[in-house]
Amino acid sequence: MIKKIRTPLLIIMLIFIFLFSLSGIPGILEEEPDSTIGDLVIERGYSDTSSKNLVAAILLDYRLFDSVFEAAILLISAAGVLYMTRLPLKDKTMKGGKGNERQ
Amino acid sequence: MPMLTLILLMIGLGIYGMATSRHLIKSVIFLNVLEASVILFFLRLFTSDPGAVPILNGNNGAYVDPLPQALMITAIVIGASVTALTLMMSIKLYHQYGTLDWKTLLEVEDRQ
Amino acid sequence: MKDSDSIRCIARILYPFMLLFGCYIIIFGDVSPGGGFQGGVILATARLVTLYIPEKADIDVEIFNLAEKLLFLLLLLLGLLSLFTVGGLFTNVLSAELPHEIRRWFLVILNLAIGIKVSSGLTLIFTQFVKEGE
Repeated sequence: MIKKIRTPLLIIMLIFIFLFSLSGIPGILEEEPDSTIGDLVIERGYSDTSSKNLVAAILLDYRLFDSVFEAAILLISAAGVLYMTRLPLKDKTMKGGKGNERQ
Repeated sequence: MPMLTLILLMIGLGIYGMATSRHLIKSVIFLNVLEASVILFFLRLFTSDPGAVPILNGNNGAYVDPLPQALMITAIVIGASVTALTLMMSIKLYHQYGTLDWKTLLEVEDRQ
Repeated sequence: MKDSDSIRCIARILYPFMLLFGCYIIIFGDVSPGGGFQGGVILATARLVTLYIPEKADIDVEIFNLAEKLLFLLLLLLGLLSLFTVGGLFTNVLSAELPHEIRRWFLVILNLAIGIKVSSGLTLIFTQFVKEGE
């Protein structure tokens, strides 16, 4: 019984969570606020960071902390790939499903 | 709002595919679909309609909000790292066990 | 497909232009669309194009790994440096009184560091994938 309704229940729950998260976005369920962070960046971005590209102004000055550790994530991922290629295979290979008979 | 419908469909497709696919590569593909839907969601729903690219060019036009774009470049880079790591893991799994089927891999894991 | 003459010829012509385009995207990242991450990805993709050139030079992966580590340390140092000059962590090193044309160079250096770091990391990943597939 519970197995039959589990999948639709999960989907309904996910849709509900999605719609609930929509309520945080201005202009959909709530009314838009007077000013956002984006307006502030557009207004004072050039005088604060001297970068005409406002996306670069956010990435390289306001949120440089995020950018540096985003680069750290890439470093960790590349190190993981390098580690995994050097990992030796274990002896008990089960290629072609031959290991299925073994207990 | 046709864009919102498309994004909802993509989110549903991603979750459905990740829940039901039995092949590891397919799971990675659906993870990327889910990620692309989130990126589309941020880029579309936070932009005002008459907006220029957020690069100052002298004339005072209406610019698009630059904050979601800066956040989404982070999401794209992290998604690329996660995809690379997952694909390398699946390559090693295939070399070890000769299959990429979730069910078979779990059975092999149980037996050991 | 690797033996096709036309693809090999086009890859040879395309490779320097892709490197040039990636460097342009990185260096002019603060006045035009682009930046360190985007240009780094383009530089790494240029390495993928060389897979179609048979007589390419073999690269050592260790150099890319070392460059990535050192450039990450450089990024951290550049972030920490502003504590001593301006007084806040992770902002522009040069103070706000200086003209924009001078303060802009900090962004260029930062873009270059991020771009080379991302390109070496992604080149490492691509190279390992190709090596694993062979």
